[in-house]
Amino acid sequence: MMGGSDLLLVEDHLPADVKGLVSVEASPCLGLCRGQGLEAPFATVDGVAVRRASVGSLLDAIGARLGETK
Amino acid sequence: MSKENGAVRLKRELLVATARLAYEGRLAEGIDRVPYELTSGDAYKPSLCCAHHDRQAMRSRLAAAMGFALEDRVDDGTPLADLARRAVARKPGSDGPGDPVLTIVGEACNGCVKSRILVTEACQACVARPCETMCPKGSIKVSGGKASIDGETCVECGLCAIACPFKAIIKLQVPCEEACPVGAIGKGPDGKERLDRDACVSCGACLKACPFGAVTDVSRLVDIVEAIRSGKRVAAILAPAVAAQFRAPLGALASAIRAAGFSSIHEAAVGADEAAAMEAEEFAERIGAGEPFMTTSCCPAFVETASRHVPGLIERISRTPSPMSLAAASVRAAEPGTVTVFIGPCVAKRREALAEPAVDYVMSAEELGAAFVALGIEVADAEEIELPDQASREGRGFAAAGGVSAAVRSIASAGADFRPMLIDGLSKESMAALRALARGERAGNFVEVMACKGGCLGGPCAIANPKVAALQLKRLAESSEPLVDRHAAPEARLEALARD
Repeated sequence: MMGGSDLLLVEDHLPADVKGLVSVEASPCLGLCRGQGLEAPFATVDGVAVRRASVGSLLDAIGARLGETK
Repeated sequence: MSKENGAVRLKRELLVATARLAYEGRLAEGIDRVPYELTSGDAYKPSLCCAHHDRQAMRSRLAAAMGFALEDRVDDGTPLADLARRAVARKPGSDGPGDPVLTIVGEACNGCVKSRILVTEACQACVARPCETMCPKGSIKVSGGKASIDGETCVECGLCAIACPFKAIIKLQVPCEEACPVGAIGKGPDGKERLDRDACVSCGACLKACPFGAVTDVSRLVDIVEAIRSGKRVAAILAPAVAAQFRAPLGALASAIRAAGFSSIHEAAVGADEAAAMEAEEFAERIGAGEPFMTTSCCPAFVETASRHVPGLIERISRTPSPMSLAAASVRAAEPGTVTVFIGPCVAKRREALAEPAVDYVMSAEELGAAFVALGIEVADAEEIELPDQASREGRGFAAAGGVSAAVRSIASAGADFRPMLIDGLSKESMAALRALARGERAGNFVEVMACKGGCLGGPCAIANPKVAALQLKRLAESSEPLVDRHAAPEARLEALARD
């Protein structure tokens, strides 16, 4: 409802070298939007919430998380 | 523009707030607080110049969300609570066929710089000067180390921009004006956009295109919630494009809609099945009688476009009522006295419904989503229920461009000369194609016209990314019975089987 639908396309934008390291799951509700006016949509990367998530910000968050684990 | 943007999110936050207050019966009590609640807290960042401007624009957006066209509204300090009381007291049928379905939020309109060709600082005043060479009007000259354009003679053809090897020439656009296929939106004396109601076809292209969210639809959400709250039976007639907006089975969506207070849920696609059968018969009759082609009639924005801008097409439009009309008539006959609500992603259906007595209200997919959020309903968690009538694969497929042709083809008479042609989305270019059709230039004899690119899935009030929605619709259609098994004459069934 708050723009999360586009986030499902993040898989299409993952760089080839990280594609196999990331699994994308759709979630009906993370329960994070309520009482957080104008901060939706939310997503989580390895359990860490990303507010005002977009395909770009998720790619950044995934890149940062992978960088930490390397 | 992506569906994922701040303007869309703001509109939906306000719809959720409106829906929550309406369902709680506290609309008048709480509506004036909403702009303050959304502009407070550490995380808030102004969308416009400051919180005061944001709140002013939010007040206008909330007025539209409660069903008021903003062109009629004078900001004289009247609290939104007064509008809320009027909205709650509004009676069904109080809208006239000429009432606006789109409105402009003046406070949010940026008054974008007038469309023109602009030479940027990247110009190198090169020796080749292809801009000068290409310009058919001699409007571009290089002097003082930079190209300049004579605005009096420039016809904005853009050839100079294409020719520039430095990409130093750009076309400044006004997104809403650029998107409108019929030139129905333009600047008023104050530089802000105005809708020409006589020219507007309610397609919603301007609503989708405006990066400031300054064009919005006039909602009837409050009226619908009020009908539910007052204990009336309220039937939902669900467009297949809406079934594709939620990642859940149709039965779960129906259950969620019931939880939002609707007493019965019906598929508009059942009306699409009927429309396909009627159009197949009408097509055979008209082509048999020597007519050159027939167009579809299910997209109200196209029907309006033909009526207002391409009169030569009017007599070629199918006389078959739209799936919404057929489904609503059937619900009205089965459930007299029930309030009927068509739920779809379309703005133009609001206008069609104003002249359709079987439809009391139109609710957008966004408004349905807002109701779910307000009530805490998770569609994916809802227990599936059976719908009274199941639509066919092709009926559900009406939601995607090419779906109507596929449905009619599946049940057309054996040996029919069926040559479909698709106009997928109204734009300035496709308007030229429609005019060519009216002049007799054509490449088919069954012309399907969808105002929104991709069909209803690409509607201005859809929630899901059209690519994701198309996959969901495909899943739904694949689990459905073929239309040919229900409606077709025996010879058409044989032909369809042979084709499969």
